[in-house]
Amino acid sequence: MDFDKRTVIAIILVTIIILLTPLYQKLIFKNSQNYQVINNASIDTLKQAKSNASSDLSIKSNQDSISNEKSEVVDTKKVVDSVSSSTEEVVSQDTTFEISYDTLENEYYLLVFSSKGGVLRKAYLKEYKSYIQSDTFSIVQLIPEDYNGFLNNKLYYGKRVLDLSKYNFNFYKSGNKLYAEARVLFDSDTVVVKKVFSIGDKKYTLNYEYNILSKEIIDNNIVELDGGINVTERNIKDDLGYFKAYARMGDDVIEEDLAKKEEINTIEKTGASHWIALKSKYFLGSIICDKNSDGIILKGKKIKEKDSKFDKKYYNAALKFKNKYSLSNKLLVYLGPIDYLHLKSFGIGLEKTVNLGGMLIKPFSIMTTYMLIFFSKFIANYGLVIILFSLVIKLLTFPFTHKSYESTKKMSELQPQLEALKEKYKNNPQQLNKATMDLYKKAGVNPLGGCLPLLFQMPIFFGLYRVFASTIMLRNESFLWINNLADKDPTLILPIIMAVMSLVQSLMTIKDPKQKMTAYIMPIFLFFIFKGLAAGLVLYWTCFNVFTIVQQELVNKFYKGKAVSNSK
Amino acid sequence: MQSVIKKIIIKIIRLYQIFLSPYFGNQCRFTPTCSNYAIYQFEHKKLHIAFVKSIWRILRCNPFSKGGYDLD
Repeated sequence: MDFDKRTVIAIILVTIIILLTPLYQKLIFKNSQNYQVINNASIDTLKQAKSNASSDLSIKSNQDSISNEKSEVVDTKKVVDSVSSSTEEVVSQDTTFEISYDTLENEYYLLVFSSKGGVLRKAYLKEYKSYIQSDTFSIVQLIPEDYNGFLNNKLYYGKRVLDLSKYNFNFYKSGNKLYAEARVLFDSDTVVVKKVFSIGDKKYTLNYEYNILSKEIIDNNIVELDGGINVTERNIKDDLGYFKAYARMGDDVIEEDLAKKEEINTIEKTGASHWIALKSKYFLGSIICDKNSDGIILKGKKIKEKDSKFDKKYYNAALKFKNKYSLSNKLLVYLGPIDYLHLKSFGIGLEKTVNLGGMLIKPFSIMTTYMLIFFSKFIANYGLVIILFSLVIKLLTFPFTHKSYESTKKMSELQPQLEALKEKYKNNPQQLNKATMDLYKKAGVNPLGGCLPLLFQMPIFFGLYRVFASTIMLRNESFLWINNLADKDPTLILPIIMAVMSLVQSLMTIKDPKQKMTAYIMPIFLFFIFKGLAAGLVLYWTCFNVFTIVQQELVNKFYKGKAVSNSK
Repeated sequence: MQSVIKKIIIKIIRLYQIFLSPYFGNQCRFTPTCSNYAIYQFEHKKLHIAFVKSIWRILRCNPFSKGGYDLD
């Protein structure tokens, strides 16, 4: 009776899910149409960008032709504000100048600097394909166009602010260093700013030195990353979900999601900070100092767009330095992928920007990361790495599960006797339990493997989920028909295979005819859960199912042979 | 408040019993099973005690344990 009730509930649930699916898909499709709109819009701007800076991307030797090649004319706004205006930006230079560009390049990145502000305008990562910019421009560019770029300096004189992003800098290159220099007339003071950029020793790093000479006392000076990290993934909404600002203060790493509201959300802290960082799903921009900073400022806001289903996000992170008459400062800048091991190699806690889950899951995701990296040294394709990984996990749990199958088998041989006991103690469940246990003891069977090994699979699975969601490893990795293991499989082939495999498995484990319904329900349920998850994760689970089935078959065969030999 | 949380937890365990448990097969070494034990604990004990006892039970339910009858 009880079971009928359960079946009804189950059927109702499944029907609801099936009925809701078209609605859900409609929502998804609407979103993807929006992606298209954005793509088209950005393609135009990118075509321009391409002619501006990228034509020489692939040809490394031809660097200098990019610089000063294309330029646009910008009027610096003539804002003549009196000293009394509080925190308004004061620009006392009244010129029209041409923006020129210069670059720094190595095998990993191409950095484009703009003479307007002497800032980093574009950071192309050569090893990573961009999904957003598709055909016209197919590698990742980290810095948003609409803002001040990265590595702008702002100087605070009491309440007056000198925002250097509005001034023209002159570039000159010497060796592998790029110099940018500006003389800014600020009130009655001439401020001389020298910036020196050079490619860092470590992968994806840039050395940034600056020197500012001013007659007046500069109270504060900040270096900022403005705008946030660009969206780079096909699934824009998913990518935006990972946008965050970080800062290291002392031994703590502050992690803030500041773009929840439409008004600017600011976090300002004083004290020595080691680094600040902004991140997207896979990429990180960070300014690292020698713990000589005096504070941090993190800002963020949500930007609503009319024709878009999702909100854009604006972020700004800055390191603050207190100073006196003149100052020079040496900083390290990281612009690159969120690669756990690489970030860890800096030894300053940058790897904490990788979200590997809470206390419980973290050890498992770190273990998973190391295992995947280890396997990938021998196997080029990450699909195969995942298959191997699932085999290893299966083998690790095998001693446990094997034992459990043994006892399952023995148990089923005791089944008739159990039925008899059930009949005997129909009205006395307490007595029945004792009798059952006695029977087990007599037969020398310790029933089954236990609940712990079963539960042990869960943290591994969640760990893997975390790894897929937050490290660069599996981005863009293809396997058979799947073009991105870190994204869901749009063809649904893999989830269907997974569902079929789990159906086979559940039909094997569920022998009780009363529970046959559940055997069919679970695979359907799993299908709906897994079809939205990363393809690599589905691949792992599918293989795990297959290995379980194989293992079960082997155990069955083994016992059949034994039973025959016993009967003889 | 406690009783509400208890009820929710029991509901979740029941859902597990209906949908997930049959899929994994009978794995438990104890009588009553871990899930039934947990339900009993949450019905009769204080929340935190039931919680700790349930977790302790699951930890004990491994291939190296003897299993057997265990309710309290």
